[in-house]
Amino acid sequence: MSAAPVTPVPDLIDLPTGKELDESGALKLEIARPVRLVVVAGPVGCGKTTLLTSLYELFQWGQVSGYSFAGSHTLPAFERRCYLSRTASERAAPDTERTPFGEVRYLHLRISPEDLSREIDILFTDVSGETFERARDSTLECRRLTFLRQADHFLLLLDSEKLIVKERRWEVAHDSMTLLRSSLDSGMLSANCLVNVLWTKFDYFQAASGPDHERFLTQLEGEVKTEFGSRVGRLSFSRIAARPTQVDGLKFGHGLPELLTYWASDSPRERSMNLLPPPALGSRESELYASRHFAGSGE
Amino acid sequence: MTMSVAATKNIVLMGLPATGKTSFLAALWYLVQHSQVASSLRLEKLEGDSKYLNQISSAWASYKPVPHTRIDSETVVSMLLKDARTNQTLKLSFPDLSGESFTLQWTMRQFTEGYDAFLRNASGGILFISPLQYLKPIRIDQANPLIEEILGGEQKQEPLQDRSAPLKPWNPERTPTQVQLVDLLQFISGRDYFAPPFRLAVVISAWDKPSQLGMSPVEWLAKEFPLFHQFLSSNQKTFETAIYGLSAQGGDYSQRDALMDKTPSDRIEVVGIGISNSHDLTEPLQWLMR
Repeated sequence: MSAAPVTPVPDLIDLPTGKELDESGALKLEIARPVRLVVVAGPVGCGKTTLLTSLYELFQWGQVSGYSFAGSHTLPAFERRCYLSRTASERAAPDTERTPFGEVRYLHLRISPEDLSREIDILFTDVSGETFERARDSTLECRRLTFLRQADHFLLLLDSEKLIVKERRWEVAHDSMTLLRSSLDSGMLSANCLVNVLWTKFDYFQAASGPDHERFLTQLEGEVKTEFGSRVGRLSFSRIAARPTQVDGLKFGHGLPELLTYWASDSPRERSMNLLPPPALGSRESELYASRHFAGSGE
Repeated sequence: MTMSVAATKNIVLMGLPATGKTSFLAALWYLVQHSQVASSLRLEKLEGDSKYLNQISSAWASYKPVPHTRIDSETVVSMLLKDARTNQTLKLSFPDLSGESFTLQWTMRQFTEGYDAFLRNASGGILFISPLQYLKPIRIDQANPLIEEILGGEQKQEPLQDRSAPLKPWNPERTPTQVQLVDLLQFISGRDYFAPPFRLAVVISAWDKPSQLGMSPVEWLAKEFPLFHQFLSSNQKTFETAIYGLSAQGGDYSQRDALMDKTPSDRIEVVGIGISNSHDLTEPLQWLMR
């Protein structure tokens, strides 16, 4: 009996996995270069992952608000999350896989402004809704979320699909405000943090248009400002439809370019370390929009 | 009498499967041995084993597809060339790796020590992109209106797969081509020995096809690979790039009668900024060594 010929296996070098970053991966990146941390918070199904994948999808087709894609340490992680909304999945309707409960993970995006004057590294948290529900219900649980201390931007997502249901809307609003209160009362969210309340799936609001819904939003915004406006660095509100399905008038990624401009234009941590260039917003329409829309509210 | 030592330049050829890497080598090997095109790079002399280069070059000259590079191949081919402008002798070395080995970099997140060693000493690289075969990041919400239009609304009644149906698992090989290309370059820039800027010629092969659209190679890349184009534009300090359109075959071999009327070197077409001779395949190489 003769042995089968053995094909020599070449020596292989491991390359970065491209998976979502864990705490140590995120820390390594932060040591290497200034990083902005955007915490994406909200209950299960409010659209946290869809918000991130839709932003990534916009870059697949061109610049976003004049910013170019400059790289990512987590390309396969983005791709896996986009899969159910792509034709490659052979599904009839787009979907997003739920983020499993567990340790905090991060997605990374590097962008450059049109003049290529700098690179901006943004880390987005990819944390399950269950984690935030626990943090809402217990300040002890909230203190476990140590990444909150580093947040430059804290996004509080409220699901418009639920907010248009009269029986549920105040409950949904209450739960979200409790999460923000818990994050502040537990001392985890810095007083400099820029808090952005996002009405996600805003196409549901548009589809259910009516003075009652607008009145509700105005009332809720007023209440959030009263309760939290003086406790955070800046408080602003945005209407987002990352993947609109309910009305024809909204484009894919509605509201995301303005958000990106906002994240790119300010970082409390970099400001405190004098790492930011002078706050001279450019003349691009998106930047003017951001300065009008985000600056100063709640201050 | 002193012997002059040829300067060695290692050029990395990169590209996913069927992007024209071997066709480029085949046409180059032919071109540098003939005076059909006024090229400044010419073969100085044959040296060592040229069997593989001769094989692929013969296939190219006889309008046959060049043999597919084996996935486990780590062949490094070398050419001893003379640069007529500087009178300098150059030894150009290229690893002829299969396209599948680059797909595996993306899917398995590994490359071989041989490739790493070659990269370490590389003077630059050529990245090949096929305009005939690439994956785009098409979303369902983009495709559905088109499908409905084609099917006249039937698609709504017969979904391809409902939400509760078993999922076809994510296959990294089906990732949009532009995403894979970004990571191939990030793998290089992430090596500890990497010293920017790395000169990179981006070659869009089979250019005879997209050239019919009336776009320049840069315009084509920006339209079809926007993410990758943004990445290159944003990383000019890391990757100094020049973008070319190249047809090494000169056209489709199924219509080779028209090609046979030309001298072999005249089949070659190169388009890009700074190209002085559109049949000179060595122009991207000259840019890399400039």
